Amino acid sequence: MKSIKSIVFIVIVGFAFSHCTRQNDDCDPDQFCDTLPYDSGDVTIKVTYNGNGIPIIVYKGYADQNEVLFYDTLWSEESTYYLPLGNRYAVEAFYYEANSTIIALDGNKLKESSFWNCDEKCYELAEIELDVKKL
Amino acid sequence: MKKLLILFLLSSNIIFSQAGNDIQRANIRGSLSVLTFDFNFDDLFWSFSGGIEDVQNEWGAKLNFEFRPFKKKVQIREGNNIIRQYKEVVYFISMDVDKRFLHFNLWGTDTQFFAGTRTGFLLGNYKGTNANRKPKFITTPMVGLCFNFSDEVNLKVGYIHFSDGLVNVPDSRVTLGLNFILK
Repeated sequence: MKSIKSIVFIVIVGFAFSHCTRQNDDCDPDQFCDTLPYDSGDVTIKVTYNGNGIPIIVYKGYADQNEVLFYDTLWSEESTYYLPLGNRYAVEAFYYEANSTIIALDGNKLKESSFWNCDEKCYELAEIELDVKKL
Repeated sequence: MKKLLILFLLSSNIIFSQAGNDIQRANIRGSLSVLTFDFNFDDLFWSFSGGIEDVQNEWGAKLNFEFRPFKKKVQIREGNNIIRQYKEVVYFISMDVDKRFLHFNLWGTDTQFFAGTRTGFLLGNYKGTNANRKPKFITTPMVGLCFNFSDEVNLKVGYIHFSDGLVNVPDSRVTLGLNFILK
């Protein structure tokens, strides 16, 4: 029992120290650091392309809020759009079949992406993927 | 009115005194389960449960909190011609009542049949919309085998018919649960 307590204590202390020292360990002076924050990021929309154009609607926020950003038709498996950071985006893709229409929905928030290097905050291109591939 | 009141008092006295006798005969213990899975080839739910087990009369009742531990693409029929496809997060809050019966030896383990019902509400939400999944009342029969490894531990393997309204997921599922009966 005592040995279990000791192991748990050592593991917790180990985690605590690794967290405290992480910034210093991650210092690489040769690494490129972009200190200017981005205002936009990549939103990649993935669809099931079967030779016909796939109509999509891209919404700012949630789809049910109905704030349409733009309409498009995709002629490939994926397409990437450069959109402002800090917003949530949703996309609907329409698959027209013989007897039914499948409306696929996905959404996510495009957040700023950054990391610390040598006590400096470095910004990188934020990316999200919205997967509206048909099942 | 007076007659009705007297009748009620008399009958309730009989009912409660019988219940008292039953409770004396019963051996009620707590039960816990953190490793219960309901699954088929297309879906998986993980369940945390707690309840009571009458080890004397071999029945049990427990409350379950079930969830799918990942977001899943699902299709829901909206009308005759429209199918909506979402990435779904779901929770199923339910109650199980089951009875174990017969004892036989299977692969060197004391085994029983069990039968019961699971009843609850399926709740959830979807990515990309504020609209939540329409709460769905589900009740499903459960039947299967219960392997009693000891007085405190058993494994239930059974079948449930879980009609969650998804186009792309069959309703038939296997339920597999490791249960701990507390002292």
